[in-house]
Amino acid sequence: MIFPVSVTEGTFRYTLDALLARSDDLRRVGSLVAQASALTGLSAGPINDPAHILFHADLVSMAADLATIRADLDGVIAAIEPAEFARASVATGAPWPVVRLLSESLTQLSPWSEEFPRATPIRETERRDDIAPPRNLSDRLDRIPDSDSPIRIDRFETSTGPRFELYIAGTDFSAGPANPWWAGGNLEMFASGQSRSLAATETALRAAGVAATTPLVITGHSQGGLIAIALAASPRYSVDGIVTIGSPVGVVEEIRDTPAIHIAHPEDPVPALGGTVSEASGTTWLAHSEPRRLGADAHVLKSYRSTVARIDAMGEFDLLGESPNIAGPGTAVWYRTRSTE
Amino acid sequence: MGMSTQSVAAFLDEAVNILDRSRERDGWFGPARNAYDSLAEELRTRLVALAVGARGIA
Repeated sequence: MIFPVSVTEGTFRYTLDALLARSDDLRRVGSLVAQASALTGLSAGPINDPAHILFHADLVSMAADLATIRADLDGVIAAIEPAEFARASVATGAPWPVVRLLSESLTQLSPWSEEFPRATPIRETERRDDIAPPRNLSDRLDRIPDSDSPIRIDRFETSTGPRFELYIAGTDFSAGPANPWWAGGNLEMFASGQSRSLAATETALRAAGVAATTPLVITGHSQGGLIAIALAASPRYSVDGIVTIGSPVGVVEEIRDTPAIHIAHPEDPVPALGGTVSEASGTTWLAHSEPRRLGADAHVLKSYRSTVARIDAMGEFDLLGESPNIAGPGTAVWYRTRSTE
Repeated sequence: MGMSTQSVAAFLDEAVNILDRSRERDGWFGPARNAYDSLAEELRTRLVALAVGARGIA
């Protein structure tokens, strides 16, 4: 069993010392059971006594279970320590100011550096009716679009007017600079707090009819999470909550008073590049990817599916709340930017 | 039986005490904490049964 662990203040709180103390508790319990097992070993007792044999087997089983549980808890502790280190430096070892300086230099070399902000043209690619509201984090993850049409906006009608759910795709690492969702989009956000992908998303929100007071909930993967935070920080939108998955949330403006859940694999280098996981507002959940693989495999959206399902299973979330006044199914619309055509 | 039932039971009793104190520690709360406490309770129940078993084996 892996324990997802929250590493920020807010609804949940942890201390590394508390976890280390419990790991030591399990170590001592395991040692005592091992000593009891040694005393009941076959060399210590009559080999034809079934009760003795079964009792010894129970102790061996107990010791094995304790070792497994302690290993899982130690895995969680190991996941937290890198995040603690990331408070002061990027996982690559470079001090954060150096990364920011590099980002600014690259942005100045970009052909788009003179053009922020811009209304990036978008077009609708698909529309579906009969869309149910998302029930949990897993539903939200499943609705994050792929890079072909990286923006999805769901509209629901309520007794007090429309409300929207926005889903934003992550970086397309195979894309070139003509695509706003290219890797450079992250650098654009790091350096200036703006990007063409952010501008495209805002264009789509206007096209969908999202106004400054329209309730909006945003879910984003990777660069999509940065866009979610930027929108939540903007006075132009009324964001009720955000969910970011595998996003370097520490690099953008901190948001306050907006409920936020950030989900990250410690094996995923992208969130680590955010540096200061705990300084972003909201609650950050660190949980090992399963299977555990370091690097890009721990960043792709599908690798987060089982992680999000485990967090959903803990059943403690009312972060985004129910929307009891939603009147019937909604409509989903997908958008892509014209510059990717 | 070649073992000292008192020694085995004593080890298991001490293990139960450690788990009791573990569940009472401060410094961590949330659903993961609740999960740990539930596991510790299950482990405690098993250890108590084993300690009873150790005393019952003659």
